[in-house]
Amino acid sequence: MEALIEIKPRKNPFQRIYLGTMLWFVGRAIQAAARVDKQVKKEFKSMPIGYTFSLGAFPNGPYMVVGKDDRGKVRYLGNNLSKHPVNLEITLKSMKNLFILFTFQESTPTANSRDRMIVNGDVPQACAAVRILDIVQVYLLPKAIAKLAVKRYPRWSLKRHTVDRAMILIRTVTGI
Amino acid sequence: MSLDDFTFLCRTKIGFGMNSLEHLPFDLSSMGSQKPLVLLDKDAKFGSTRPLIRAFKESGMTLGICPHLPRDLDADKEIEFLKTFYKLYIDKGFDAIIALGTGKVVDLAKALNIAVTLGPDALKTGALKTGALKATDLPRVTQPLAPFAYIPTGMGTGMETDTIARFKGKRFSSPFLAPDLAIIDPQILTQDTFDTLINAGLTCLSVCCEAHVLSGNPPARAYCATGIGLIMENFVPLVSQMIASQEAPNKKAVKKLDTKTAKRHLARLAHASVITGIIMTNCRGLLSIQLGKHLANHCTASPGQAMAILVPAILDLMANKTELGNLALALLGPDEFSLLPKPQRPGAAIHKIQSLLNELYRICRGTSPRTLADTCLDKQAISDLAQALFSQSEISGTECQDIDPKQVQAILTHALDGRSKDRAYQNLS
Repeated sequence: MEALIEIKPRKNPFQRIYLGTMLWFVGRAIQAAARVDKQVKKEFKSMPIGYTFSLGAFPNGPYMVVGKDDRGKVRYLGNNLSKHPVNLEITLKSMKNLFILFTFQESTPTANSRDRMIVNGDVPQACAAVRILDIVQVYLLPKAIAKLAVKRYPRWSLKRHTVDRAMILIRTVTGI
Repeated sequence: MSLDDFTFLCRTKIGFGMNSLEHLPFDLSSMGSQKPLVLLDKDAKFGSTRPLIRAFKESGMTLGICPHLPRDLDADKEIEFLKTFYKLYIDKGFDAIIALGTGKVVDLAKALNIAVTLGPDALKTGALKTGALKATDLPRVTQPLAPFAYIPTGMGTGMETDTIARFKGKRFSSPFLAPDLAIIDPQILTQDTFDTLINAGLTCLSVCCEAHVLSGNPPARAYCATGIGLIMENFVPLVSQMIASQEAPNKKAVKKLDTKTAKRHLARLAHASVITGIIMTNCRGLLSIQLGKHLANHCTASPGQAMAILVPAILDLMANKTELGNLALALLGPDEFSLLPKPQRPGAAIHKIQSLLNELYRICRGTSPRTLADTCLDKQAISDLAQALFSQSEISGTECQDIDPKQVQAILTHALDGRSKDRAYQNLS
């Protein structure tokens, strides 16, 4: 009889780097959109002061933590879950699932319907967080790709598509 | 059919579709497991574990992959393998079991699960050394076992997700024996052998049809309708495709072209077999299973073929016309069903099962039997066979039907040449 083979499956550095970059970029874009876009502002207004939420992959991340500080300003708080107490955790069941989501092979609602996501926290706030994520993806991505990432591509004004988008991109890169 | 009292149990979480293997580390982890042991079927080579290993990337878990079981796994080897796996499981500190494959590997995984959770003595029972099994003699599994996931690599007969484990001729029955997870991912499916597929497909169809008509369990009947739909849609196309790819002059081209479609069909059939196991759990004592598996010992048909030959006869002789008519909806689909006047529906349901067997006979160039007469069974032997089956299969006092040897004989007579119920009884008198 052949012997037992014990395998410790390897890590996937490429996916981890890609997702880390994407989450960093999306986190900063959420921070920027909360200052520029009215709809994102409104969504954050419904969240209490000090409220934080995270998006990441089970079991070891990568993660993105976003929250409202004491003055009500939205901040990207980094990628370390242990440093910040999180009120709402949106976790994909594996890093591959997060990779599928962030390579736009599946939209967020599709991933949710395929049971790839788990939410630890208030469901209404989770819905708000997903709506924010959708808006930010529309801002960041070209229309052809954004159509794959969201359920329905929104009809926005020209100002929102051009000026607001440019502002958000500048603020995302500079971190202002 | 009485709808007053029923219970329905489904302990198995089913994950289906592309990338569904990716959920396995999370699901195992939520059951407290960090180090699963993988048992491989005879057909599962080390290469087929690649998608599984990929799914565990970044999970932080360690996988133990056992050597695959041999094709000729007799009772002695079964014990030897179980002892080896038990030692590995305990010594290396594994805490969950994954059965990759169908059939015996799942039974062995269930037996291993009993041994590692309750101790190896739980598999020893003095009362069962010889003779017929009695419900009171069965060893009792009364507490939850270690997390157990079942990943089919093809279509099973349904026993995999049932709450029964067969080991060394003994039967262990407990709700805790059903797998916690059944993951059907097309990327891990390998093409079944032809005989295995026919046997599994016909077993599942027979169980679903009989339970749909004769069981008074509404949730189980809903599962049956789903199972029948999946089988009717995918079974014959897959069998035809397998035959075509075997006979094609340029096999590579055909294989490349059809692999994706074949995997889609196979995934749905594997789903149907998982559902069948749940139906078996909730509808005990189905006549087609009881008679079919014993009948297969007396003729050239496989158990699945024997069951499928018997099912039209069982339904024709025992079913209520309305319930049998409702089966036509699952077998024919809503379009064809809606065209049939009510009195024609029971006949159409039976005819559909028989025509499926006839179609298989055509596709398989006459190697798949349509009736018992095609299985080298003699008309004169029916009477003795009925008596033998009645005593062997312990069908007296089953949950579904009260049945006597005369009815068994009528079923066999009906199935011998597929004749109608009236003629079968006429022949008896």
